[in-house]
Amino acid sequence: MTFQELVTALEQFWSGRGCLLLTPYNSEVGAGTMNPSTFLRVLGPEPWMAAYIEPSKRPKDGRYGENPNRVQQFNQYQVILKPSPENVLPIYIESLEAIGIDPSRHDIRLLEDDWESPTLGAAGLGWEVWLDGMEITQFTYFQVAGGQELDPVSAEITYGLERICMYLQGVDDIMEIEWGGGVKWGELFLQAEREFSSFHFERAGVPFYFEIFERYQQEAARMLDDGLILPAYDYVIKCSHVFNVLDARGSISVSERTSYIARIRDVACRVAERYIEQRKRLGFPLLKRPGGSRGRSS
Amino acid sequence: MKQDFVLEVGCENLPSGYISGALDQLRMLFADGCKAERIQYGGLRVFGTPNRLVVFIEGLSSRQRADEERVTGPPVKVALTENGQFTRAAAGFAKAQGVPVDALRTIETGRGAYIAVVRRIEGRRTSAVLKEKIPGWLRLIRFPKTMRWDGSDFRFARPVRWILAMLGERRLTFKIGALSAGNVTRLSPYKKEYVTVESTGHYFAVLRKKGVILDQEKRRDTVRRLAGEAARALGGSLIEDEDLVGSVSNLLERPTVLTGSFDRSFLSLPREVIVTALKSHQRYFSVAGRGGRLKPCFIAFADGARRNKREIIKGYERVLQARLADAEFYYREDTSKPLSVLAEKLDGIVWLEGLGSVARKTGRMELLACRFKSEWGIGDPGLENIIARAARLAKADLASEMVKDGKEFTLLQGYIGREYARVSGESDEVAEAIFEHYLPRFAGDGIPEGEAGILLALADKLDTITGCFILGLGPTGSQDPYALRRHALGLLRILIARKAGIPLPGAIRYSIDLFGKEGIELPGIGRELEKMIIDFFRQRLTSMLRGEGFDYDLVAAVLTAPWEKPVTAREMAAELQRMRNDGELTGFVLAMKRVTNIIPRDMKKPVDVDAGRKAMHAFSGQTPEALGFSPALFSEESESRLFEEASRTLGDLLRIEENAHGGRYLEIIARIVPAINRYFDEVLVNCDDREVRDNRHAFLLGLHTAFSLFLDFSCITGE
Repeated sequence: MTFQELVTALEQFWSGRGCLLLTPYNSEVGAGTMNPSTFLRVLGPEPWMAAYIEPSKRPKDGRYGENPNRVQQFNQYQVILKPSPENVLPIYIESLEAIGIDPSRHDIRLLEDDWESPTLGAAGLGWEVWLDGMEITQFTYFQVAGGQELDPVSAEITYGLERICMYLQGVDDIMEIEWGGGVKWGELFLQAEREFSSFHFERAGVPFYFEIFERYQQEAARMLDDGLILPAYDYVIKCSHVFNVLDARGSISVSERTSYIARIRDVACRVAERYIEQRKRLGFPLLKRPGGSRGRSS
Repeated sequence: MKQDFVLEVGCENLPSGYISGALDQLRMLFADGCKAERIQYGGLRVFGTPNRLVVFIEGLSSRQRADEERVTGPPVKVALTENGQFTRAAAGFAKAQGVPVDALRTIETGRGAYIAVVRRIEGRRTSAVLKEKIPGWLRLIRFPKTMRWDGSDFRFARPVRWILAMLGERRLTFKIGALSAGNVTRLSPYKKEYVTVESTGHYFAVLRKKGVILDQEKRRDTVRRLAGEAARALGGSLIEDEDLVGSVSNLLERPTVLTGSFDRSFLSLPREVIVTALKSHQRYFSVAGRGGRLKPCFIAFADGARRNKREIIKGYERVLQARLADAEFYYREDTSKPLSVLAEKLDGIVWLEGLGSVARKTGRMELLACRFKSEWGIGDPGLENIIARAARLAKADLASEMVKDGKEFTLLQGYIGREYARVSGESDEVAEAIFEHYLPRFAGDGIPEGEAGILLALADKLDTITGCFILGLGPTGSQDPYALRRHALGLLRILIARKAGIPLPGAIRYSIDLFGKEGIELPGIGRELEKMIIDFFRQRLTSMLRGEGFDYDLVAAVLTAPWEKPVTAREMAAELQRMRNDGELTGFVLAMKRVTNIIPRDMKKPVDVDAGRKAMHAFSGQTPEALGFSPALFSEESESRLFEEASRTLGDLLRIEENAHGGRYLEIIARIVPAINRYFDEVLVNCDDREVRDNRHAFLLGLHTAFSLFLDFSCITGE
């Protein structure tokens, strides 16, 4: 199964289960959770079922393309189910069958993993899912986001696409994954890994990045004051990425770290609060649809 | 009629560390609950896997035990007339209770005879009681973290997806949150299929047939046995690890053992790095070959028999390969430069917010260790150089790729430091001291052997304790986030095991000063902080000596006196215990208490080190005027004799060598006993002549004050 066939299979599976198929966000995010399709939509009472691929950018994980398992940008497949269905775990196992993993022939295990994002003021309980000893998915029942207690609880399923693909294709190096039509992952992204590793670790302009962190944070606060919640959240995402670059660059000391994270979290929490108010003012529109957010009935 | 009862709480995978605690609570909730509800049973057992918590009660009676309810009314003398007729008061009580007057009984109470209504309460059916009570009991189970998963308010560690509750062949129906209990179980939370269960016996048969080992102890034993067999089949022996056995057996229901291998080239990594890479994420067991060297193999467990073991093992091997490759990368990065280069980065690592960097800490450690060295009086002059070097490098591994950022290898701090020190060409003494300064890391861990290791271990622990107390982070109740109790116990264990006669109060003062000199603001006034830390050590030492089996009063006698050296304190407690066991203590303590008891209460003061020292010098230097008495006023020979004896004894105690055994102090003190006894046999202390009497009181008070420096005899009971 090529990378693109894997994505297609997941899209087909989840759209068959009533999910909306959405698109990645248009700004750098460390995980699909940051996409407003997850972070904002899990807030409040409205039902929401969505699935999308998300390129996840983690500057610190770059290895100049020399490590077979670690890269600064990889792909997640994100599924968000709100409220979390009673049989969410069996459905997830079925999704593995849909991508060619027969659960009766493999050791599939759920290992405790209490997820927490200090930057987003978010936390959940769940597991890492292991396939024959390898982590292929993060499975989380969201409890809190943006400091808001969540009701209903959403289930978040995050597939690590490269990991799964390496397993399915039996290759030991991420660069060797066949993306599609005989083209390898490395052919597409190796140069990007080299350049971005060099950029994040050695070249990114530190004063410039510190400056835009401040400016982005101010912009987020200003937009909040103006009642423009979605643009404000855009700048939360940007701050988070700028922070990650500065962190990779080694420019943030241990003691400063906490305060930078707290600054991003503060805005994220205010965004969450205001978002719920906004949806309430709109009358929680998705509550009124008979099938909630569903594109098709399952 | 008696029936068996089974309850199964079916969960999506519970964290492995939560299972035992949940089972203990379930056992208690059901035992206490049945007792409170007057439900009798033969036996109660609990079982658990990640996917089910099970309560099994054998021979449960079908009804509650009948009971009596008594409502006490007026006393008989008010309720009955002289000829035994009920009075108006009795009639009123009967009416209020809704019974005819002739249903009233007379009962005897502790306060006399009373009129009462005695009602029999019939037992309800057990099934009805359980249906009503179980939801409440389940809600009482506590976990370190809980969650919600559906619209209900039922919280648990992970989602509960089904509940099976059966009494014999009947299912008990009740609701908890959004769930309804029934007679169905699931073999796996990953599957939608249910199995309908016909009876309690059938329930256990169903799970057994599918290979589920419900009993957590049995599962542990199975994992241990299978791992051992697999290691032998690989021609080696299992590196035993009960932690790992425990966590593996609580991650699965049907242990199936698999073995795999890794590239031999990784064996060049430090051994513990390999063992940790296998253990901490992947939870694989390591195998030792001949001579204890690791074999390039591992033992892993899957849940349930699987058809294609080969492919699963290949998966395991591939993941392990990646983890070992990471470790190798860290190792190569770290060892490409000397350890001292890593140490330079400690400047930028905060130790505790408000107390500066780790580099500062190592600086204080060096100074403290050198002070300990000179007080202990050991080591040749070269030792200070070793201490200085080892202190500088002691925490350097915190800046290494291998240890930093809290990954699995962070657990290996100290060990990694030692390995890197060796690679960097540091001397063996320095390398060992780097490793040993963290010891003991847990109860039962080894303690440092080398001199530099011992001194730095003491210094690191005391510095941590002092620092945390400065920040107000001392332990309170069950809260001890910085493990200061463990640090204190470690420090005391080292001092005692290595017979290091180092006085603590001075060291604590010095340690506080080191923080003060760095400009760190000290809380409290005067010596308050110092006293808090000494009290903290006294509590730790008390519980440690009690743990060794010394009697409470003897430990108190030693530690209420102004003790300074933990070693000496322990030796004194041990000697007192020996004396008590051999019947020697009574005479000794009685004599000393005679002195104490005769001194008028208003003259006695709390034990005071300066006053005690002054008294010792006054006796040994024969300058009694310093204590306000004069031998010229002595009238009996035994008075002068006791004065002479006291001068000699206290003089001996002053001259005793620095690191004398605690027993030696007691031996010297005991020499004075015959003179004391003779004194009290012959002298009437409280005589009529006021001047003589005051003189005697001052003399005895001096003695008391001096000996109180060593022991608080008033703590000792029964003698």
